[in-house]
Amino acid sequence: MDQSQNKGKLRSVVVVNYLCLVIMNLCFFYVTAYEVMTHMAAMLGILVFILVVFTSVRVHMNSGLWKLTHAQAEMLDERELQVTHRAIHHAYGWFSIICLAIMLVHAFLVQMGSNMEALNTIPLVTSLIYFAHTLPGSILAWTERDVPGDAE
Amino acid sequence: MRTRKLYNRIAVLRQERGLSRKELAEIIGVNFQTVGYLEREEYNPSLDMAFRISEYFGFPVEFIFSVNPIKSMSQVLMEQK
Repeated sequence: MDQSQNKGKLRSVVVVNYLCLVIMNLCFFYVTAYEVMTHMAAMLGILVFILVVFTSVRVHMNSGLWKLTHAQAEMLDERELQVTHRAIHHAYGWFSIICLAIMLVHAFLVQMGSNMEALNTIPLVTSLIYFAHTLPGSILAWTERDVPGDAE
Repeated sequence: MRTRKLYNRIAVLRQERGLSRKELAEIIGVNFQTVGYLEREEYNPSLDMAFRISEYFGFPVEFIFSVNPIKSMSQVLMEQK
């Protein structure tokens, strides 16, 4: 498999990973907000969670991106520092926008009279923590020609 | 700030010395992928790294790096003919 195929594959796994994260949150949101077919939604949520873990290991652990974005500055060379800083800079921007968008949607729902206080926010907050940690790596997987796990 | 592209002779010099990217990377203290980026001219090294590379190969910095495209040896020979 050549490098461009590898790159395409990694990008698709990144998309699947975040898509699964969104579906998982919707499933758990459904479980707490509605009373019909909650078992089905919970089962789907758990299955999608397993897929999140599986794709996350593929994108962030096997490729070495987690190590790169979480390494101490002294362990990286100047190019790695440069790309990591750039990725973290972009990730910070995206993460802020997404968090604010979620807060805005929440505010709208509360305004419209939804019983948002009863919702279980643990999956959402956990997902946001996961998102904050993995977004720089995902940006690198998307933009960089070589990822650390590539052989010479 | 937009920077100028730097051209270099690193790939030729490395191959002349029969080194792999990994070996050169260890010598100049970077990741082997960084050597790949340097050779493909997709990354401009810092002054410190440029000096480390020139010290290792034993050539002046301006011989290894240039802001103008570097002619291949065959082109230079053809022009001398």
